[in-house]
Amino acid sequence: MKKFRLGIVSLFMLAMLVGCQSKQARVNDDNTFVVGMECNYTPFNWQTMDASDTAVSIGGAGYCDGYDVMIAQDLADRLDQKLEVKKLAWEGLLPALESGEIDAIIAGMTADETREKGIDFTTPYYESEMVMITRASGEEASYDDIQQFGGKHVIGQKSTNYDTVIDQIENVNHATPKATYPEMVVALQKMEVDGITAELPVAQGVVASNPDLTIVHFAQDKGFDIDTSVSIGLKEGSRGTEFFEEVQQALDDISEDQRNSYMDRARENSPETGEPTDGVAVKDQGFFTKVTNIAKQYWPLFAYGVQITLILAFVGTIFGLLIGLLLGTLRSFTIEESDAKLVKVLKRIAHGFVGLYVWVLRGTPMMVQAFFIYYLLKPIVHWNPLTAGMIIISVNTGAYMAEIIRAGIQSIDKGQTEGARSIGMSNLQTMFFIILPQAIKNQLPSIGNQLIVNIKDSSMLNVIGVVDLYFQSTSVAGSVYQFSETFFVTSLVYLFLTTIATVILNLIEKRMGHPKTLERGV
Amino acid sequence: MEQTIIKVDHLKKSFGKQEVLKEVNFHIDKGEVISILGSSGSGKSTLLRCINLLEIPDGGHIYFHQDDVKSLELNHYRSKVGMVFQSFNLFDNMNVLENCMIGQVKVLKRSKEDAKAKALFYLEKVGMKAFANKPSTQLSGGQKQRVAIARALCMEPEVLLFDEPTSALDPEMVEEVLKVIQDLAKEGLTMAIVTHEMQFAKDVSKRVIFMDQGVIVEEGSPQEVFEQTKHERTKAFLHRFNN
Repeated sequence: MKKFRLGIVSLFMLAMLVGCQSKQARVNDDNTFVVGMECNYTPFNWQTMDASDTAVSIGGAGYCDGYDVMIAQDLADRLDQKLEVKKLAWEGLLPALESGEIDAIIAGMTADETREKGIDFTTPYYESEMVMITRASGEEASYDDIQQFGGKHVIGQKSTNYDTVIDQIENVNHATPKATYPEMVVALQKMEVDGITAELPVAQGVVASNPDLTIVHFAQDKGFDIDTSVSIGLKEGSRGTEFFEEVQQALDDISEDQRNSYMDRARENSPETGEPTDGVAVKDQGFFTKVTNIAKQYWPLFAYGVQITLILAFVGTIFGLLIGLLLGTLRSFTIEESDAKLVKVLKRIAHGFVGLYVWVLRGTPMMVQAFFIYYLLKPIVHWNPLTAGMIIISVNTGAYMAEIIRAGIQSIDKGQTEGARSIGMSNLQTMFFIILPQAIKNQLPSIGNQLIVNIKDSSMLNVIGVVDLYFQSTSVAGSVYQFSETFFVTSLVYLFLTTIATVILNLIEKRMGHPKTLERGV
Repeated sequence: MEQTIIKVDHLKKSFGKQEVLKEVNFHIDKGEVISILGSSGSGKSTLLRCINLLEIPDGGHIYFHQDDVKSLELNHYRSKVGMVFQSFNLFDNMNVLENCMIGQVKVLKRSKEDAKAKALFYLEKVGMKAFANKPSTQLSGGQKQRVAIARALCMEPEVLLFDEPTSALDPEMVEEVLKVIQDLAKEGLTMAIVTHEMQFAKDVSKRVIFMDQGVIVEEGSPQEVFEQTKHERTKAFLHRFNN
């Protein structure tokens, strides 16, 4: 019993620790330069497992590398600060800058009027050219005027200028934007769209890894009317401050040659142009070769996801069980005639509360609960997704556990209670020492089943940005443009986890003895 | 005059419309062994359960020494009035020793060492000391009932109530349990026993009570009830058992 308690306490502390870590990162002391980027925008920034001399660690999710990272590192060195890179979704960059979670956005972002309202931009740190990526085999490959794309399907990245400029083409079929380039590349290859708007360096990165695609350059005055420079974004209102001036000065000190050499290195090192691991071109590989390569190359990403998935599953099951024990027990105290009036009222309130809790949380999808709870409480508690995820999955599991425990309590023979009451044990003592131990033992298979369910259902928490196994898989799939192969690996990992969990649960059940039928004299 | 431990005064109990106890008056004196006889449904088990307050009476009073039990702390009172059930009701999640210790530790707040010593003492008395570390679910019916008696004795109650202690046992196990109860009777323990074992009732009791349809029909020494039976209902009942 003591060991059990100790385990729970340490788990709780772990949960607190995870929660605190993220809080500390928010408070940027003077010695750290925290930069936000997508790590999904080659060659400006991308995610990798390789620790090259330019890559910067982004925790368990690997490294971030690219032109933006090199610029950021250079700036940090000149500012005499330590660089920290935060991987954030494109939509998450501005909120993070506003809340002080990051000091700067260096993410291939172009300064425009709308963005100027929420961000103070430095002068550009890169200027490029706006091009279109098309299929090499198509007629579009020979175009040199954006108006030639009239009637064609063109797509651009969501919430960026590259999406809005598409409307400069008359009669264009403006496709629904997608969040990342990998997704759009797949759409192009599957003939869903005929062109992707892109900046030249990005286009070069994409084409290098996809020989079936090519770049369309536009003639003078026939291209898009757009500013293609990218700038560093600092917090609104910081212009004129010492920090802004320091960053601007540091940026000015990086020479043109230095910048060009950074971009050359970024292009050379970008993952798409790297040699295939076994020397065979990707398109010639069979399904299982691709699967094996993905597993080999990206296992640290999967491993990180597994870690988060297991934390969620175990925390959810253990705290869910505790919640279930409390609620299931409360629900099981019957209202007796001999009870005092106040006790009766309290019991009714408890029954009502438990009923409501189980009704709502079993009756709505956990995904919806996650959205609701996370965003509703975010302004008040400032929690990070993992902490929120652990709480949400525990609360959700608690509803199922409450029913499991209640059924377990009901299955215990009434004689057990009478035996305990006859020697003077109180209601609580009877419940705690006699009834609950037996109820838990009898319900062990159902309780264990919740662990299996949680290993799988934790994947739903990706909606609030928990980097679990499923979420990591989508990242991998996005980087390698191989969806079926990646999720085949994912399925195997899930199956492995649930199998191990089943074996362990069976061992525990065996040790605690099988749930027995009541053996009573006739 | 002997000291009265339990006094039942005009006790009434109904389950729904069925009146199970109708104005029962009854008492248990210190050192007495009382057998309560009667056919099923006569209310004898309900009488015991009311005394232990496992059932809450609808009317009348129960006194423990001079005090109305309503004025006493329920759990404290119960620890003074032991109960042995037909279906044993040993705690299935504990071994024999733990069954005998839990009440001492949690209710009487004895130290674990004292509780263990006491438990082993009473287990020896019922001949179950050798089984102290066995899970209670692995015992035979007779062994379970002897442990249940030890569990009750560990609380050192002033009176011990037996609710058909041998009815759920296979015939070959009845004897071992009755032997234990007989030994306790010799030691002067105060007991009230609901039983169908006529010979045992005759041998062990100081007083015999016959109940029928919720009332006490006949009461007296074993000789008076068994041999100089006054009431027709008692005669009919005994007749059925003698054949």
